[in-house]
Amino acid sequence: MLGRQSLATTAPSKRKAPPERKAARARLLIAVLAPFILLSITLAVIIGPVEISPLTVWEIVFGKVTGAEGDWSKAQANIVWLIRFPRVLLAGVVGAGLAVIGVVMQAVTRNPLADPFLLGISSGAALGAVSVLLIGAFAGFGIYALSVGAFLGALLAFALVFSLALQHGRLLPTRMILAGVAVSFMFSSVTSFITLSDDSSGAARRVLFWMLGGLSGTQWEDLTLPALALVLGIVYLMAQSRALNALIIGDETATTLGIEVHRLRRRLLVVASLLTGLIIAVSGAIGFVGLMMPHIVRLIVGADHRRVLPVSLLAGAVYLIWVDVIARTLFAPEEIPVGIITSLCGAPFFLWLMRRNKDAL
Amino acid sequence: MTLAVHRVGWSVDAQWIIDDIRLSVESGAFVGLLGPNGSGKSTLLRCIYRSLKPDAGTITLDGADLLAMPPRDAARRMAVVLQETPIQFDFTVQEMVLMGRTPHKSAFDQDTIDDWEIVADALAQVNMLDFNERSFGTLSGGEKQRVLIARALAQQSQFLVLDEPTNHLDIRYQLEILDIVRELRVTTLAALHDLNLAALYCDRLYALSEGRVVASGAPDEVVTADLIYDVYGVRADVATDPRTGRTHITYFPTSVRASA
Repeated sequence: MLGRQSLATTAPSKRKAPPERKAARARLLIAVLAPFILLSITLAVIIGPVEISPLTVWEIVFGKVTGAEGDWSKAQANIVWLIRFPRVLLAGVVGAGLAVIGVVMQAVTRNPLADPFLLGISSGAALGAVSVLLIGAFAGFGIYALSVGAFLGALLAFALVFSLALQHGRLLPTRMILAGVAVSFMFSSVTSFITLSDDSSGAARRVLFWMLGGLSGTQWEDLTLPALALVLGIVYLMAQSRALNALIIGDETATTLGIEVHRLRRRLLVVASLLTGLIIAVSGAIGFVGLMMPHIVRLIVGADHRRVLPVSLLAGAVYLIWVDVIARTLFAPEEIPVGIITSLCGAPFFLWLMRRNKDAL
Repeated sequence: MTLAVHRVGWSVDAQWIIDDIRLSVESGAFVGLLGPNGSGKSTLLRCIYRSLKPDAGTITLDGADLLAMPPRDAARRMAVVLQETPIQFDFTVQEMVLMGRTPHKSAFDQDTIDDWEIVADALAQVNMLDFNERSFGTLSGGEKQRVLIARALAQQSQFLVLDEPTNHLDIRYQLEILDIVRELRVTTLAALHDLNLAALYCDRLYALSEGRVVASGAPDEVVTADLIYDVYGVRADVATDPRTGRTHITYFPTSVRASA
């Protein structure tokens, strides 16, 4: 009795600013992850067959940016600046991009199991890219042909899966997954056909390695388009983050909250396809990052996109930087395509999620 | 806020699902929409809350063309409580209610103390303030419905649309929800399936059958034995309950015979 009374008198005023536990957690995560990315980049650049001290790494970077001289060898400079640095940065950009694409696709399909890999979007991008690699499609776009091809392939696959999953204007999650599987197989078989009918030696091996997803041989030029798309994409998505919240409740709810649902969804489709295409063009198909990252992030910070988007971006970057380190060191000097490791981690995660989230399918 | 629906129709495959609907909701009134399943209640509401585009007719809110309004403007004037559908994402109660602020926000706008006060007030009005950090998915049907009403309140609009707000709820929660709505004293249009409850709470009723309005007026004018037989195909006796002064219906299904 007494306890209850004293509780009532000490209870905080109900008009106070809300006790936002999840928002506080999100701020903490961002505060931890952002510097951790810098640390991860440094460590990832250091790790490799040739040892280079962390100080030297940043001296070389500083020197390359400002033109200053230092006491490092030309070989060290080349390894850091031309080989490892762009690769590590690209791993970060690709990981961040894939995580953000996952968030968008899950919102558009209202299905927490959506992922560009699972829904066949990656296969579409791969077909587009392979057409460029082997048949020389979109040659008019020069060095961007691969990106254009991958983007158009992704867009085609997304539109196809989407229209197959619609019934009477409603999205059916089960149909979506099935449509994704079908589209994925269809595109993959066309890709295989194109690859096998090409008689130039080594083509099949080159395409296979690219399709498994890998970041070896990354050059600075590879970074431009994905990084640009990621920056523009995240700005647009953050501007739409409230609308995304309403969208995952339902089309009708979003409409009654003043959102033009069809227009928003069309734009999100284009943004997701563009990001997927531009990323896959440089990295190949790296699966399950878009599924895992947003999920883990949502468990910690809740479903609000204003938190899910930035935290997923950072988490995806850190994750792929480290997966790529594993990919190139585990059986060094041999490299494993990074996509094999993400799938090895991601597939069991997906199965666990399916069991946990029974009504998502 | 006054709603005027004039000669509205919506068709699919050259078949009119609703046709020539005329309906008005006066400022401050609680108007009920009756009719059996498939009579067009939900279709009419969808036209009003702009999920469907009518093929004929006009809908105005205080004289302004609702169908031509930018979506955000419409959402500031009209809040809608839909039938609850399961969601796969985990929002807290206060996050759900905060979504009601969406039509008042531009891109990159932050939540202000005012927004949170509006959310707290809305939750207090539906007696759900103690649940604000709970996960929406873990609530019971009645609690979810109350949270959705709170979200509509946080929208701060002057007109409320409810699509069968008491569906699948225990009688206690049905009464509770309708009490809450009644006490809000905002202009309300609600589709209801329970005739007794409609007669108990509404100022005015419209009865729909096969996509047309077949009766309208005060509850005792609309809820009559003839109308119930014509529209629902059920025999019933309608009387005024001396204790409540409201219309009360007794049904006589084929397996139960009236002995008097």
